[in-house]
Amino acid sequence: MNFRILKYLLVYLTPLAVLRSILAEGWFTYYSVIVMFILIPLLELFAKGSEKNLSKAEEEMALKDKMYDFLLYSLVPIQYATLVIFLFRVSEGNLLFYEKFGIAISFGMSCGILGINAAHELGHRVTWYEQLMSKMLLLTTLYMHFFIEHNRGHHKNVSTDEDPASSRLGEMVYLFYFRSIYGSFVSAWKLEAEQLKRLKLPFWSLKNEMIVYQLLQVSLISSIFYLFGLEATLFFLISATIGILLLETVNYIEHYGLRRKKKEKGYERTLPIHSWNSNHPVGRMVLLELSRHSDHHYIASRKYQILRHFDESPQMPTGYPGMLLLAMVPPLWFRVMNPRIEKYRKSIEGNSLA
Amino acid sequence: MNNQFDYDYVIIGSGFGGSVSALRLSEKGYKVLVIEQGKWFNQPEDFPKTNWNLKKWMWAPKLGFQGIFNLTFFRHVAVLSGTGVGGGSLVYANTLPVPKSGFFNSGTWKGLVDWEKDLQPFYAISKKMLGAEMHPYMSKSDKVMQTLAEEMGNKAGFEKTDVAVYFGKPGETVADPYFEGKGPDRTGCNLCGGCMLGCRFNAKNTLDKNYLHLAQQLGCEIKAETIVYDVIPLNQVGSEGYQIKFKESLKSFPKRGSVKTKGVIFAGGVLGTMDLLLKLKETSLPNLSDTLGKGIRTNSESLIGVTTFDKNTSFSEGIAIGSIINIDENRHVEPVKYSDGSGFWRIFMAPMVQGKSVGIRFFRMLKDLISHPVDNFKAFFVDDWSKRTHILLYMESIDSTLQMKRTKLGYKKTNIEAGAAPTAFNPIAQSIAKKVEKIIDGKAMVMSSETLFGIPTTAHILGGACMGKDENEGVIDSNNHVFNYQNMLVCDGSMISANIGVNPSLSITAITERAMSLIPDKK
Repeated sequence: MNFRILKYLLVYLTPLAVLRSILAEGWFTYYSVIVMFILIPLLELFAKGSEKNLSKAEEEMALKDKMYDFLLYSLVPIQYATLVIFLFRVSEGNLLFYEKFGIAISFGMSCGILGINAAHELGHRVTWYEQLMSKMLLLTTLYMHFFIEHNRGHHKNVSTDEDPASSRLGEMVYLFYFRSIYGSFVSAWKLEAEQLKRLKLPFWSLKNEMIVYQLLQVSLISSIFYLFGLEATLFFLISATIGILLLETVNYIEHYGLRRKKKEKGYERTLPIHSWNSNHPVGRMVLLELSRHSDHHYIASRKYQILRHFDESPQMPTGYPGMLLLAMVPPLWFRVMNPRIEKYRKSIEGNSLA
Repeated sequence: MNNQFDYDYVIIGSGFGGSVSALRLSEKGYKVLVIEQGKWFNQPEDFPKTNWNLKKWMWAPKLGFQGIFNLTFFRHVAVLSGTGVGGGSLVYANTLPVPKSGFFNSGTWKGLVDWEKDLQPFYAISKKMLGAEMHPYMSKSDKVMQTLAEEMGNKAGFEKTDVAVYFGKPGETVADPYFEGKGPDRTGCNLCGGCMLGCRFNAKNTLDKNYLHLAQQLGCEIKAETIVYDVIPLNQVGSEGYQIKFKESLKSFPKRGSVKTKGVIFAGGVLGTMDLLLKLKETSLPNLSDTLGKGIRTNSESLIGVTTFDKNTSFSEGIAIGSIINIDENRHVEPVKYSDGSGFWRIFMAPMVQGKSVGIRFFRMLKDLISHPVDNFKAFFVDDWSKRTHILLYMESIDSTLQMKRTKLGYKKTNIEAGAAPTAFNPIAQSIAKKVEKIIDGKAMVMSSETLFGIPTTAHILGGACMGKDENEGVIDSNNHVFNYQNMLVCDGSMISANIGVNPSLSITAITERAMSLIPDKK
């Protein structure tokens, strides 16, 4: 029995909190929001998190242990079951508007954390079934093009001005949303078009994954409309939007203000110094180590259970949930983050001079 | 001598047995304390609007659910029960039938007393106290049952039920109509169909509106949110009284306390009483009969939901159970309903199939899903499950008993004691469901726990502390007194010693009324 995996059971905190909110009435429908954005950030203000990395032998053990994978896979049926229960709940009536809204926001948490974050981990895997699961999760958040854009676009161009999903120094999160959501969507179409061209396939065909994604998403929305009615569809769209905004906020904080150096041809290699890292424990477990982001961008194929801490990467002052909140208040965000970037740049330059 | 006791009687549990005992003992001049693990439910907003609100509907304190409805799984049966001040009356479907003669002349209590004759007056008193009234309306589901009775060639078998509901004029509140002004105001039933979520409209005659209300006026104390964990006799036979130890049931760090009492009445329902007594037999009360835990029965119920495809039909309007078909002496079927919007059960629904093993049933379920995809799909995704679903509650008196035991880890488990285990796939129930499918143009579905694991669901768990002529045959005598201990009684579903075949609440009330009538007034 491997006890290390037990801490990752915390990933079920999200679906449990979301289900509790969905299966409730009154203000309790906002329960998951309170857990994610008040309880956890408060907890993480006082928790420092471990910088410890696994030893080589431990890494090998962790990679061999299939339990980590099953834990991840289990999130797919959970997300679908939650979706169906959510739709039953909002369509079956007897709820007031603010209750339905609370339920929709709560399911939005599930969309962001399972629908995109877990899909993100699966999307980096190489087997066809893991990639399929990734797309299935993204479908529930109506953000399937993330699969193309993230792997072929974001990871290639991260921390450069060419990447729509890398935020710039001094950029407000609210403006970043527009740039990133629009930019990523366009970029995904372009990347797919290039790919089709390379493979000498026609653009207008079902070989075009972007077209397939749009069809799937439209059919999901139509079936929800047919089965559960207009109101449920609207609330579902609210949830999906919240999921997307959660993702984009995470994108915003992950690379804020960090840039790779331009060389004659392209950019320098992505190093751990080009992503913000956070070791804060709860965010790490709930988001499947997404917050150890520096290593993830350094070597994208590393599975979540073996992501490392690097001393040289910039460290976030608190965990992801707290950082998301901070980003919502731009003046405060700039005040906390900009001096850190300044200090950080100086220390790198100092290093390279030496 | 009496001054050394805090109370004359401590009653553990406030359901049908506990509430009756509380009132009757208070009337006789005893000082009574009722201890109930659940909460008070006085206000309409204490109850959930729909059963999707698990926190208010279900009772699972470890998960933070503090409602009225308790779902417990055993190897052979899944039990639906009630928790809260008023016990099962908060969540039950109001139905108060008098059982057929077979009940009085079988089981371990057979011949101890002429039960049928002896209990007759007590049934009358109980009906009066609970405000039993014949359901005066004819709802959509009652009409379906009438049609069903005709199709079964048993037109005379259809009857309206006697129910514990104040009908009056819908929505109109009147001063106490039952107890010459001593009882609380009642409001006419508005036929919302939500009886089993807890009545939010003050129309259901739950025990806190009759027995417990009157008992409190006589000085009876009710301690809610408290659970008893030990009953220690002060001498070997308890003639010098008992020490009752209890703790708070809902707190993570519960406060503990204890009181001294002359007598004690176990009335925690089968689950509560068995939990406590099986534990105490190993510790404080070793002289309890060895038959404790034996003779556990259900009504061999089958619960089948038939979901109609007709979008204009609503089964929600009415009361939870408004009619019954008496198929024969031993078999009954009733229509059950939830209020609209209460579709929580739908997420557990699976096609109704039969088969000996899990594999066969699973295969047949898949076959059903594949061969009738549209029907299954329509039934599962129906717009409002509770509105469109006509739930059939089929009950049968077949003699089979389970035994409840306590495992080393302190959990209760069931074993088959005699007869066949209750089945989740009763062929008669399923054939009735097939008929109803045709009548209402729908699809029959059952709980997936039944299809997959073959565990039937029961709302009528009974027995475990049965009556007998001595300690080798039962735990209690015909007057409900526990063998080998003095001033200790069991008055709840666990005293039911034969196959009842119908909804048991009225019988529990009546038998307790009789037992209480035999306790002398306080000197």
